[in-house]
Amino acid sequence: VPGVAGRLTLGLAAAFAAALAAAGAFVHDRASERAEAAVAGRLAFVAFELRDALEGGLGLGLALSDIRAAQDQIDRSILDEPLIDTVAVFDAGGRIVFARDLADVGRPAAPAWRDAAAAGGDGVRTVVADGRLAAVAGLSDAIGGSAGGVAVGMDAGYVGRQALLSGTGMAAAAAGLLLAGLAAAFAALSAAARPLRREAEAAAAELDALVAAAEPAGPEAAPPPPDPDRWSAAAALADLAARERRLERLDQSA
Amino acid sequence: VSGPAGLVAAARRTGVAAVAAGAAAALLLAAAALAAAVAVVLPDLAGERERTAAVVATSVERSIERALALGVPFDRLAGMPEFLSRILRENPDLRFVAATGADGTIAYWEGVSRHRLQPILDAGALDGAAPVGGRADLVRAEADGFSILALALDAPAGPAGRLLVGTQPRQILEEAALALPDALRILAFAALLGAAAGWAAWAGVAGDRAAEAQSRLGALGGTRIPRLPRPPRRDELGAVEAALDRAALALHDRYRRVLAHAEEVRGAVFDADVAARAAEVERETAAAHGPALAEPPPPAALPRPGRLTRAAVALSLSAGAAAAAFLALGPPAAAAFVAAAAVVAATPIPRETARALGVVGALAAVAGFAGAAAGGAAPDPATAWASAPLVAGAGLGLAAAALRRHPARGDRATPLPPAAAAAFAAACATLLGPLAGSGALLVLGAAAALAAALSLPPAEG
Repeated sequence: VPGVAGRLTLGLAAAFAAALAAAGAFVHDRASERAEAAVAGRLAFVAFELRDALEGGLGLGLALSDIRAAQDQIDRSILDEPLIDTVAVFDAGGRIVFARDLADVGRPAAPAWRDAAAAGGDGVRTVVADGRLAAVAGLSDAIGGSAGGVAVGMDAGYVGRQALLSGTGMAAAAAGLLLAGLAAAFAALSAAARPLRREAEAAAAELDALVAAAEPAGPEAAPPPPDPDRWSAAAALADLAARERRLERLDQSA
Repeated sequence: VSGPAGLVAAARRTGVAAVAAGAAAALLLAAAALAAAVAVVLPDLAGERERTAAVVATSVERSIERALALGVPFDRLAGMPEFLSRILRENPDLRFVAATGADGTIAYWEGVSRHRLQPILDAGALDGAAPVGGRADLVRAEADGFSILALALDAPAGPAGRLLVGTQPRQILEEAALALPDALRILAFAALLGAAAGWAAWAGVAGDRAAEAQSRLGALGGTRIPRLPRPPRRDELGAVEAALDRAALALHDRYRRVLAHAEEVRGAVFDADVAARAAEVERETAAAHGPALAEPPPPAALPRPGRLTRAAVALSLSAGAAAAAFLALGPPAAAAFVAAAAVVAATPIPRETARALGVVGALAAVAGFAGAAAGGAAPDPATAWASAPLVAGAGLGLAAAALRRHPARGDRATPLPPAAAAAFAAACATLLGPLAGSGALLVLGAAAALAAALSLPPAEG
C-alpha cells in the first residue's frame, strides 16, 4: 500500500485483530462456562427429581426393580427436556434396571456413572462418558445404604456446538469492527501525516532545484571555496558547472 | 537544504499520532467487541435459562397436580414455601416460582415478592402470551424485565390456577458486570498492544527512514552523499530518498563529464596552448573533486534500525504472551523471566555474553515450562505446551535484539528496544496474568501477537 498512512495502518491491523480476538475470546469463554453451568444444572434438577421419586419407593421398602413408576418418570423427563437422550437407573451392582432405551436394561452402567454415584453423597456429580454429559446422583435405600444411582445425560457436544454458533456470530461482528477500525485509523493517520508529506515534498523540490540550478548552461555561480575538503554538494556542483563552461569556451576558442 | 529538522520533527509528530491512534483504536475496538460479543451470547444464555425454567415449571406443576388429584384443596397445599424455596435453591438462574389460584391471586411464591408480582399479573401480563417449546399448555410472556413461563394447574374439579416461573434476562448482564475488572484488563491490554504496534509500525515505516534521510541530507555539507542501498519506496519519504539519490548521482556524473570533456578538447584541438589549458582544467578538477567523486556514490553505511525494530517488536509481543503464560505457572516464574529479560536488556554487555545469556535463558525457560506442564503444575497442559514455542521465541528474540550492533555504540548491545520489550512483557503479564486460566484467550492472544510481529514492514539493510 503506497503512502505512510497506509503502511502504518497495515502495521496496526494485526494488533487490532489481536485486541478483537482477546475481547471476543474472553466473552466466549465466560459465556460457555455459564451455558455449561445452565445445562448441567438442568440435568442435575431432572436427576434430583428422579432420585427423590425412587428413594420414596426405596424408603417404603420396595426393591429398586419393583418401583414400576420409575419408567413413567423417565419417559416424562424426556418429554420435559427433549435434549435429554440418556436416562438410566442402575442398582448397587452397577446393572441398569430402568432406562430410556429399554434395550439398555440389564446392561452394566458406565464405570464413570458408578464411580460418580458412589462418590456423590447427597449431591449430583457431572461426568462426561462415551460422548455424553451426564448428571449422576447416588440412590440410598431405607437404611441409608447405597442402592445404585441415577444418570441423566445428553450429547456432550451440545454446548460446544452452541458456542461454535455464537463464535461464528462474534467472528462476523469482529470482521466488521476490524474494517471500521482500520478505516478510521487510516483517516486519522492520513491527516496526521500531512505535515510529513509537505516537509518531504519541500525537501525533494529543494534538492531537485539545487541540482538543476548548477547546470553548465545556467548562470555563472560564485567562486568555489579554496579548500576541497570543505566542498559542499551545492558548491561542488557549481564548481563543476564553471569548469565545464571553461572547457566550452576553450573548445570554441580553438 | 533546510529540510532535516522539519522532516524529522514532522515524522515524530506522525509517530505520536500512530501511537495514539493505535492505542485509542485498539481500546475502542476491544470495547466494541466486548459489547458485540455480549449481545451475541445474551440470547443464547437467556434461551438456556428459559429451557431450565420450562423443565422446572413442568416438574413443579406435576407435583402440585399430584396433590390436587389426591383431593388436597389448592389453598391448603402443605409445605409449599419449603418446596418452592428448594426449587429456587437448586436453580439459581430462576428469579421466582409462584402459583396463582383460579382467580389469578398469587397463593404461593418464592423469590420476587408477591407485592411486585401481583400488579404485573393484574396488568394482564399473561394475556395473549405465546406458546413455547412446541407445547400448547406452556406459554411465555415478558413483563417488567421478567421472562415469565406459565403452566395451567388442573384439579379434578377443573382449572385450579397457574404456575409461574420467572427468569430475568437483565440478571445475565448483572452477572457480566461482575466480570468488569477482567474486562478492564482486556481493554488495558488492547490499548497497550495498539500503542506498541503503532510505535513499531512508525519506527519501521517513517521514524527510521526520516533519520536516514536526515543523515543523508546532512551529507550535503560534503560531496560524498551515500546512495540508499535499496530502491526508494513509493511514499512521502520516498520522494526525498529519490531526490537524494539523484543529487548523489548528479555529482558523480558531472565530475565524469568534466574529465571526459577536457580529454575530448585535448584530443580534438591542434592549438598546444588550448590543449595545455584543457589538461590543466582536468588536473585541477581531479585534484579538487577526485577523492570524493571519482568513484560512484557509496551505498549508505547506515544503521539498520528496521531490523532492530523488527527483532524488538517480535520479542516484545511474543514476550508479552509468553509472560502471561508463565504467570499461569505462578508469579515467581513470571517474575524470574521478566527480571532476567530486564537484566539482559538494561546492560550494554558484549555481544557474546548477550548471545550466551539469551540462549541459556530460552533453554531454561523451555525446560521449566515443559517440566511444569508434564508435572501437571500448569492449569491447562495443552495451553502450556502451545505457549512453549513462544517462550523459546521470546528468549531467542531477546538475544537477537541484544546482538544487533549500533554504530554509535560500537561492538555493544543496544539496550533500549529490549528494555522496552521487558517493560511491555511485565505490563502484559500483570494485565493478562489473572486471565491466564482462560486457555482460548491465551492461545488466541499469543497467535495474534505473533501475527502482529510477522506482519511488520520488512527489515532494512
